[in-house]
Amino acid sequence: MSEPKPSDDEATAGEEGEPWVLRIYVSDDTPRAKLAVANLRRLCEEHLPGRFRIEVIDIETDPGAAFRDGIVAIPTVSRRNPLPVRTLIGTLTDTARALDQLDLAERPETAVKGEDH
Amino acid sequence: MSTTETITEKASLAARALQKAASGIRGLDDITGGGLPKGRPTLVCGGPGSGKTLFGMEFLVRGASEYGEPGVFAAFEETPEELATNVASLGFDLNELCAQKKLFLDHIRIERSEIEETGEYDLEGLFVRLGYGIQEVGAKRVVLDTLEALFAAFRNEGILRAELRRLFRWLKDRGVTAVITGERGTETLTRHGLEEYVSDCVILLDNRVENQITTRRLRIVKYRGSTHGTNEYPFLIDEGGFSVLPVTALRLEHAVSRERVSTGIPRLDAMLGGQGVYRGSTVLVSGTAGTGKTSIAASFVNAACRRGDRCLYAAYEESPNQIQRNMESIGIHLRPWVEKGLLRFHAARPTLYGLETHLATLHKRVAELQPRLVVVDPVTNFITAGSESEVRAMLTRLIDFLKTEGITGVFTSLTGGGGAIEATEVGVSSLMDTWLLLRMVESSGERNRVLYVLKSRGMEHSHQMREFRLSERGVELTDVYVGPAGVLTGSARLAQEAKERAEALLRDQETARKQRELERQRAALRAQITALQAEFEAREEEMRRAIDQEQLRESVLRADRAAMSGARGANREGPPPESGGSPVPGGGADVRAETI
Repeated sequence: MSEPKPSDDEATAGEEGEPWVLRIYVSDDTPRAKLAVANLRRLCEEHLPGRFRIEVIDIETDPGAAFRDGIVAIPTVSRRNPLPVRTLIGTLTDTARALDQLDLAERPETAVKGEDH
Repeated sequence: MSTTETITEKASLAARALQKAASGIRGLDDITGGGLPKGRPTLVCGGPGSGKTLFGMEFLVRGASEYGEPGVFAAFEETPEELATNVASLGFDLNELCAQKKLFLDHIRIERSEIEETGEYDLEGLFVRLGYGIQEVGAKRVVLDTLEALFAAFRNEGILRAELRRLFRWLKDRGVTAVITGERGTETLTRHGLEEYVSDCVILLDNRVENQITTRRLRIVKYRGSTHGTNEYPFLIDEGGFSVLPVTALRLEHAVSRERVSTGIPRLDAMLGGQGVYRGSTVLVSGTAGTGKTSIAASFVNAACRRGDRCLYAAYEESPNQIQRNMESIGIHLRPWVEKGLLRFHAARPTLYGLETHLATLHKRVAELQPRLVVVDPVTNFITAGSESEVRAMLTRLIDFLKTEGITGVFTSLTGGGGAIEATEVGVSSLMDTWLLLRMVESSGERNRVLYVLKSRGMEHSHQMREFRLSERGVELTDVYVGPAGVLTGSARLAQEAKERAEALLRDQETARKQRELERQRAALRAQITALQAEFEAREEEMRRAIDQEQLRESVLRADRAAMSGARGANREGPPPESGGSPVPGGGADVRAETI
């Protein structure tokens, strides 16, 4: 229902083409939700400075989104761009795993590959 | 005052008593006393292919279409398309129900390999989705099939268990009647111990193979706050969906009828107090091979159809066509009844499926046709599909069922040649109200059938044997000859009867002869008497004539003498000559006496 709201301090378009789109599903404004969003933002700022967009979806206000997007665990982070979709759950406290799942760990290599196509 | 209080207390207790949501699954509501606990979760567990998904789906479909309770189906394993296809064969149109907003299907797919766990999480997404579905259709029922898929999806079991606990509480708070399915574990009811979260109602589905025959069974493991049947109940999954058999009536209090129905054989009715058997009673027809059990059963059917009663003929040995053809040879025409829809055959090989399935199928057929007479021919064939005790248990349940429904039951039972004639192989005779025993009597090089009523509860009945004959006119009973030589049947009876007839004829002839003799004698005597009388009359005549002549001669003589004396000059001498005589000798004696 409600459109994903881009946060103000994120770039809407990066200088190196399409920005990464990372959607995070949270439920209400809980401490865990805040922690997850903060962790995601920190990772993106470290590894994708200026080239990312974070969409926060609160399934409490938009339950249909959980149904449409097949969300079970909260929080869930879904990498919508670039494809393929990558999914991870949890507060992203385990940074190494989160980076690995998002393909941000070996950032230069992946970036080269990403820019190839 | 105190009584009023007690009454209000009771009323409030009743109001607080567990409410139930009718599942709509045939039979299940009978054994649970009304359905699943309303507003609470029920765990349905079973092995693969035991029918868990279908149980849940039917619960929802029935609720939506029959009880006005929309539902949410959360499928963890199958997609909505697969589900719709799978249950279409059972007559459920999921797409239609979804379009009508009576059903909400949610495919909850979690692929562990695609998901990385990076910290703490919960399953709020699942809750929100369920809540979304519930709101979309106004659901009163929820099915989660199967929650255990979550254990494969998430690595952190601690979180998962905490969330499951929360989920069940959440479902209760929502007031939805939920069915949660779970995979059967080796030592526990479910592989992941879901039963520890569901304390209200647990139902176990089972699919067992014994002697290469599969039987589905259902058992209510627990049902808090409610009485329930504790047995294993067989169930069926067929084109009509799920049906559970409350195979043993929980109570022994079926209504009984005083109405009597004809057996179709007038003489047999006469043996049974003149009116036949009670409607809703059970009749056992037992006998050795070829004694005419099927013929008697067919007579019952024929009579019932003639009354306009619907009949179900469960044939476990012969095909319906064969039965019809054979019965035509004894003048019982069943085909017209079939065509009129009064008679339906249900034919199956006993080994086709398990006893429970047989029973379940019969239940279903009875429910469809609503017959007033059911024939099971023969019950003994079930022995090939189960042990003796199982067969007996099955028949007990079948009899219970028929009695509860007020349906007259006719069961044929084949008695083995060697065994005692009064022992039915499956030992069901004690359950039967009327027992007709057919026997072969061998004598004079032939076999003849005799029938007798071994028992018939609640009515006067004949204890005599009758010879039982099958002819093109149907089944006939004839009096047997009982004499000093024992019971005679068939040609022996005929011979005996002929002999008796001959003897009787002889006796008759003898009597007639004697009677004729008597007549003759009487005639002879009468003739003699007449002759004697004639002779007497002749003599009398003769004598009379002689007397007359004598008198005539006397008078002539006298006239002559008078004439003569007249001629001599009349009366010169004094006394008449006849009075004079010689001197009396007695005078001499007197003299002698004087001398002494």
